[in-house]
Amino acid sequence: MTRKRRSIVLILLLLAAAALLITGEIRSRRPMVITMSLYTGNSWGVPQNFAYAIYDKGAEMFLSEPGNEDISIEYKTGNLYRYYSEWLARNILTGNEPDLFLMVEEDFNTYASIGLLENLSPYLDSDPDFHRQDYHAMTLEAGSFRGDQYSLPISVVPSFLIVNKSLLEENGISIDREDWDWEQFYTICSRLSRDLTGDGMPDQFGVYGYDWQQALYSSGTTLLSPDSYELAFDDGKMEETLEFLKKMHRLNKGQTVSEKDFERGIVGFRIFNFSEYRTYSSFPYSAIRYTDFDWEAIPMPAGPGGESASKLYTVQLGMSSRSRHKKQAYSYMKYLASNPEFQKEIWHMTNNLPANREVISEIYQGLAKEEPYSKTLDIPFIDSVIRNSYLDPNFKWYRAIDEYVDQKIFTIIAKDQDIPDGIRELRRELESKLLEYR
Amino acid sequence: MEKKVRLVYGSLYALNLIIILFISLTICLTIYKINADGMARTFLEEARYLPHVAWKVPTYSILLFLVLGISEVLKLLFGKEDSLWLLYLYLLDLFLLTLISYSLNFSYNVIYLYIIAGLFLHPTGISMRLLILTLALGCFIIFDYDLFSVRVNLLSFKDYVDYHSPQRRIYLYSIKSILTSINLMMIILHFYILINSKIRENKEFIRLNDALKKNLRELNIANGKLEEAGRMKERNRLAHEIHDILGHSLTCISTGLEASLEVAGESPPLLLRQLRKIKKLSDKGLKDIRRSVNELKEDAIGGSSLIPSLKELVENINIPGRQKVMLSIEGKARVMDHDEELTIYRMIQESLTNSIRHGRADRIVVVLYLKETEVSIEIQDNGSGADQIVEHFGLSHMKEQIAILGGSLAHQSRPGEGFYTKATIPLRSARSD
Repeated sequence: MTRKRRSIVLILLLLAAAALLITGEIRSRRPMVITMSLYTGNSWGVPQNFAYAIYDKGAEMFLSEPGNEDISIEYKTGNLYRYYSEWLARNILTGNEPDLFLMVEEDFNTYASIGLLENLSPYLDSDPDFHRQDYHAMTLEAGSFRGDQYSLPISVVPSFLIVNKSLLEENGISIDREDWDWEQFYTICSRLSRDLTGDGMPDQFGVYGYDWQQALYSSGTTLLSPDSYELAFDDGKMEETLEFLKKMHRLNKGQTVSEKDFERGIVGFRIFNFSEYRTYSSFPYSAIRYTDFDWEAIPMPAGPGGESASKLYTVQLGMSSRSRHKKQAYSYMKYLASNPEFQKEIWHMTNNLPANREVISEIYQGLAKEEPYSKTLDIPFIDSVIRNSYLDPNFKWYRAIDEYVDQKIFTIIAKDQDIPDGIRELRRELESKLLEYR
Repeated sequence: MEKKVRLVYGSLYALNLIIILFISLTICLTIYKINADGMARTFLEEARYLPHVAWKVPTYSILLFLVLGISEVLKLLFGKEDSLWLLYLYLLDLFLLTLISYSLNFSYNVIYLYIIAGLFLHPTGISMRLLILTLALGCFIIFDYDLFSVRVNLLSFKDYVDYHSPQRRIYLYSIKSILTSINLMMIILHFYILINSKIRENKEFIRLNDALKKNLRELNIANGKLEEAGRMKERNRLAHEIHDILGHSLTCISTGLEASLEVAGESPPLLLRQLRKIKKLSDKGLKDIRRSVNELKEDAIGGSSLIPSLKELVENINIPGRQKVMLSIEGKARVMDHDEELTIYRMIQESLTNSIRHGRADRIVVVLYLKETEVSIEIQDNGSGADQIVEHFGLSHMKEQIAILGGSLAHQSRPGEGFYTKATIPLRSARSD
């Protein structure tokens, strides 16, 4: 009797196992769906029409490749850049995150450190079709965490300065590009900061959008060391930076310079990025913006002992470590990041720069005769800007740190706090914050 | 008792289910609350690790715990006859519990005590019980959040609870703490009842064992009696046979010879002489048979009681020889069974024979103590004594007989100091009172 019962139980267990196997088999036979989430908008704040079109194109191109017949790609869309982070976090908590997702820059470090992002290094190392040298080191660096690659760049947007050439000419100023440093920058800005109406307040300004990050990084120091939670800035250089920023701030005599002022042609320089450059320097935007004066791109001024440094924006694509189709997801993300045909489409369909360097060279060769890219935004300029750019540290709580430093430096500059005191305070408070995060 | 233990164990299962339900739902619902509050990104920022997927926590932990329940049922069904099955089921249990612990972020390691409690409900071998106990305790120690999270990246139950307002936090912590305490108390209750039932069981075992021993002793005595009775019966039958057949024949021969002698008045003197001789022989034979038969039938103590028989025995020794036996009897005469009397008589007889034959004693003191519950006999002679007592047939037979009655026999002797024998025989009449 018991023998009989035992065999019944055994048979039931076997049946259950078989049922599991069969359902698993049926599942795996269905066309494989790779989900990927997209956002509209971007971190550099330049409108982009038909933001999803490039990804639709990508899917279409990828699926037409041989061997991808069993795959289908589904996009999760409808999120603005600024709501995307919360949306993704919500989906992560409920286990519904897509296989692939565009990364909001500030999310990268968090998701790499908590293990949400799949470590891509093993895939890349064993993939003969992937060549790291096709990318600027900085663009890969943006997706690496503690020495491993966690996301791949699809496109990049370097930033730099643009200068209102007409305004400078009006004021009899010319730039010596060979000796383009803080000193020259300050001199020009102070000559531009003028009271035209006689009310004691300046009506013409030097620069818009230049802040502590550009200054600090071009002074040759960094706020934090790249892979540890430690402060890395040099007190002397920080002091120089703050002195410089204070000096610059004083030129405005408390006036706030806005983007509109630059548009009106009363500001000499502004921070600009590649995406804006392409948007506003070509039809139809070129007809809307900055038509009243002549302008061009120029690198950031180098600090004393440092080099020109500007922030590099990248569009990074990450894979969930909980994805069920990692192999296929990887092949799609690699396709988006490296396939020359698709990368060319990025140039044509968006205002970003393709991540693949080879593709950029190819495009520029074709564009050689055209304006305005060939003027100042040539390959050597882009290469040097990207090479000299900086990235936010690979640090989980960097966003909070960054906000804090922003606020602190603003206090030091705007409220004219004693600089060594301010730095001491900054260091002490940052250290206690870091300790807390650790 | 068995039922009570099972009831407590069943409640323990239910309580653990409630605790798992509570912890997993707290984790799950907290995540949904975080999502509804729009705090998902902040939560992930503050979390050191990737949290479990919300709905999976209660689903998996409850399902796994239900599978554990099935394993309990299987243990009840098959555990009795096959310990290998039990071992597999216990290993499965540990595996399930580890998975449950994992999905609860190792915030509830007390769950391993549940398996330990169950370990004593099934008839497992000591070594297996020890193995499972060690494994379960090992898991209990290792899979503790505070210890385990050093190696494995996990959020703790606390991380989830701390998301809530202080007011609600107090409730959540209190509920968990109360449930865990009840669980511990239930485990203690479980073991208390279990130990109690074991103690009771043990007492019952001891009682039954004692009864069995007593029965065995009585059985031995009855057996001895039966043997003795059988021997007596056989002896009587033999006596009757001899008396009836041989005695009858000899009587016939004797009367025939008498008649022959009367008829043979004129016969040659040699024939007469022969006839008379034969007649004499047959008469003597008949007498001998009658005496033997009498002896056989009546045995030594015959119908008389022990004490007169003993007195007669002593007198018989004292009359002819130089040996002097002194018999003293202390206490009141008791009612004894025939085999008891016979054993005492034989024992004294054997001892006296040994004293005279082997010890060459000429003074022997026999003291018979007749107590309420037992009879003891002490015999001391002034014979040569011996260094070593060689138990020949008589002595060992004596010992056996006394042992059958539940008594004991001891000797003591040294060269030149005579031989001392002491025997004690418990009385059946006293025991049955």
